[in-house]
Amino acid sequence: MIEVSHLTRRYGNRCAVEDLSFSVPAGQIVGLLGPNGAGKSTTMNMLTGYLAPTDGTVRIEGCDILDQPLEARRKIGYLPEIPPLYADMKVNEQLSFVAQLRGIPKKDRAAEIAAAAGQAGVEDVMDRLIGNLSKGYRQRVGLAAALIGHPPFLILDEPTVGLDPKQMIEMRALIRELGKSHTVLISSHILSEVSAVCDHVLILSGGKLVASGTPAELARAAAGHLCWQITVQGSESDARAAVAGVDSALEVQAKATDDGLLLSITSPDDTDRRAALSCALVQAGCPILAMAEQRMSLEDVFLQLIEPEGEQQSEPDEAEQEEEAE
Amino acid sequence: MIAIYKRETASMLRSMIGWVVIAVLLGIAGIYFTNGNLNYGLPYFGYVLSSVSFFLVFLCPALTMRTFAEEKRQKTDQLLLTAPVSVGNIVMGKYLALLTVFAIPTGIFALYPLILNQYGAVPMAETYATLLAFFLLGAACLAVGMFFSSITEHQVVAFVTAVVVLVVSYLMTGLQTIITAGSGSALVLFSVLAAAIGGLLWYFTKSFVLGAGVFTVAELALAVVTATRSSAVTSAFTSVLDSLALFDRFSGFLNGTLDLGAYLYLISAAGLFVFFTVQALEKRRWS
Repeated sequence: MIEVSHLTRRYGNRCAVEDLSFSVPAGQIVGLLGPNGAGKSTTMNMLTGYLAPTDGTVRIEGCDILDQPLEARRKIGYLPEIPPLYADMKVNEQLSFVAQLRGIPKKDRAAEIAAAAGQAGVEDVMDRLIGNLSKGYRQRVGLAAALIGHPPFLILDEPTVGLDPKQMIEMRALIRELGKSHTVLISSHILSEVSAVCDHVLILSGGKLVASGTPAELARAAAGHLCWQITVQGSESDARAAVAGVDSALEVQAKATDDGLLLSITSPDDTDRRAALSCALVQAGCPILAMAEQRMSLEDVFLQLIEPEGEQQSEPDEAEQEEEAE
Repeated sequence: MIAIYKRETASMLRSMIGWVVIAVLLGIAGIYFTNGNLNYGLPYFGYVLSSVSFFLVFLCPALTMRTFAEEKRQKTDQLLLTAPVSVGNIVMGKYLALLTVFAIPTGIFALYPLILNQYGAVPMAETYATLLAFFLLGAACLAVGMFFSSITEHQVVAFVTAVVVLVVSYLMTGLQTIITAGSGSALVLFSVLAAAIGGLLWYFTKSFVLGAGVFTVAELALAVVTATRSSAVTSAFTSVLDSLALFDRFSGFLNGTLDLGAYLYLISAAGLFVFFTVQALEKRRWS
């Protein structure tokens, strides 16, 4: 497993990663999620020993990346954001170079290269110059290079960036496939990708870990705040009194619209109060014209976590809303 | 190390730069050889090498400018630095590749005395001792060039800084005569040196106190030495400058002296800059 404790990285006065602690258990696919500039690539560069942490430690199966760098790096296959490929080499030359770098004995090299090329799907381009390959193929060649030597840990930095939609789907399927035989850490700023591929998600924002859990857990944690949008006829004071009669803890925002009075009611817990609200409002002389429940998706959780307080209400449209019109 | 050595050698010989450097070296040597040895019938090949050695100032940085700067720019250094290979091995692999490419023209130069020998007596031992010094001079220049490639990600910057440093080193003998004229200029240059060391310490350790402290201590020491023994400053400075004159070591061989100290000096200079390169790459992880 990969153990990261109190990892900190400063560039001058700017803190790119701050006091980050997490672990990647063997056999899982873990996603590192965060907006651009959240410190994902810096974290991955530290995990692979490309950058040294300002503070904190990284252990790969007990090997410290600074104290036993060669042992630790041997266990990792790394695909950085920009695949590190030599444009003046052919694909098979590049893979053979990586195999030699990783110290694969000469007799196993051909088989190792063929296996990695097969898994990453680059057999057709083995004799082509890397400089002439498309972005999608370069990404695959980079992945093949990371797979050489069968390292138990794969660290893939935004592996689907720059791919077309079909390639993205293929890459995700490939990562899921690799997850059966490797421990995988991928980074991404695309939520649907992480929730589709990963067993566990770590959300980074501003260099800090803001949340961690399975995709379902994170969605459930956020669902603690249910929200209903109810359009009624009648006066605001009547409506407010009726809602307060159901539960005084409910937060109400009222806004007059062309259709009627729009109430946005936020509940502090996830008890379904639609029936109670409906009865109370009707009894108070405020017939209901429309009612919708909003549940928070992983996207909302994400936006809520990475945005400072106050900003999150200003962009509700960007969040994908699951509306259930009643 | 072997993997990097093989890749690097192949890469230099696949791109134009390796062949251009080899061709220019051979072309220039050919002109001097034709002129001096063939037309005038001089038996000394050392003079050809001496004339060619000036061009190493440009040709070595041309060969080395890509080594690390291009890796950093293309981000391929991520592959090397995250592979289970030590930085020392990476640097040695690359340096041996540079030496191999440089050995091609040097090896061809080794044939010239044999040609001359067909037409008369050539002082063989002397000539080959000089050729070895020429190769080691090239090795030192390549190490300097490689170091400047490792501290930048722009090939052009790497080339220009290495050329400037090598030109200064080449002109060092001339500079020395200006400086020994009066201890005043030695004092100024020592102060500049102290300021540079202080500044570098400040830059690398981010501690202004340390940099300023070292500068102050150095200046005080300088003032004390100047006040008590003014001539010591001048002679010390001359020997400092002397040690920076890479190309000077080569000229001794032209008189037919076998200067083992010069071999040692050139090998040490090369070793020092290879070491600096390793340190520069290690430092990258931390900055």
